[in-house]
Amino acid sequence: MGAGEIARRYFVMNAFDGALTILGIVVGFAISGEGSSRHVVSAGAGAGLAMGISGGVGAYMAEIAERRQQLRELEKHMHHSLKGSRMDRAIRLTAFWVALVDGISPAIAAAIPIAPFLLVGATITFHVAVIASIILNLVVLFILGAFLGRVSRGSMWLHGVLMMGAGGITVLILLFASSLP
Amino acid sequence: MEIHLRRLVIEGTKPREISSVELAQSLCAIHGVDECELLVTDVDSRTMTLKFTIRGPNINYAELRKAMDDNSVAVKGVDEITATKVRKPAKT
Repeated sequence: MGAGEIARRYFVMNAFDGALTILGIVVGFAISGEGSSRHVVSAGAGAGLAMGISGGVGAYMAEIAERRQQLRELEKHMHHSLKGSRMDRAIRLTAFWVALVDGISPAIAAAIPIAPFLLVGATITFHVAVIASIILNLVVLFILGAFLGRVSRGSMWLHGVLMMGAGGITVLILLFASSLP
Repeated sequence: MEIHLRRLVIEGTKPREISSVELAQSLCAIHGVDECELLVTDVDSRTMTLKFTIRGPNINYAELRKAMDDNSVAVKGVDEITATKVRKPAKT
């Protein structure tokens, strides 16, 4: 599998993780009624950073281990060491590229829905920020789904709506859970 | 008087991920190489076996092997060699 294909897959998976995590944080704070914009921004930024580091380091280690194993098998097949060759160098470059995408994608997906909370106090209220954040989050999910639809040459709208539906279900589950005694 | 390598026929195996066109270009860029021919003789799921015919006025063999190693080519053997004696023109 090529680096572009792996990076694309990691990008969507981790951006989806990032967006849903922030959605959970925002709705959780909104339901509890105890959060402030500062709390949401801190929790969201912390979660985004942790997901970025976890995703980046995890992807680098997993990718380099998997590709090195493939290289060893190829060396056995060829009866020849490929140490220092283009193939060997490409492994590190690919792992780095995949890790970079994997690390940045949840941070980007998390930063967009957090942005409205930075305006609380100056131009909007906390409740408006919550609604804006949820809408932005659903838009991010829709874009991710549409991107998948484009990659698979399927319907961008259908994939977008399905992805957005996952966000909607998350909100509904959280609302339902909060209504339990 | 110097001995120059003018033609080499080498058998080697490369991973399929390495482009044959890029490999030929890379070998042709070596000092003393004018022409590089690649003939695919065998293919399996992971590798391709090729016959490299390298021609030039003074092939730098060390550089050629380095470029082959760098391009992940496993050299199986040198099948044909053409070397020529080059006499320096006498000083007048």
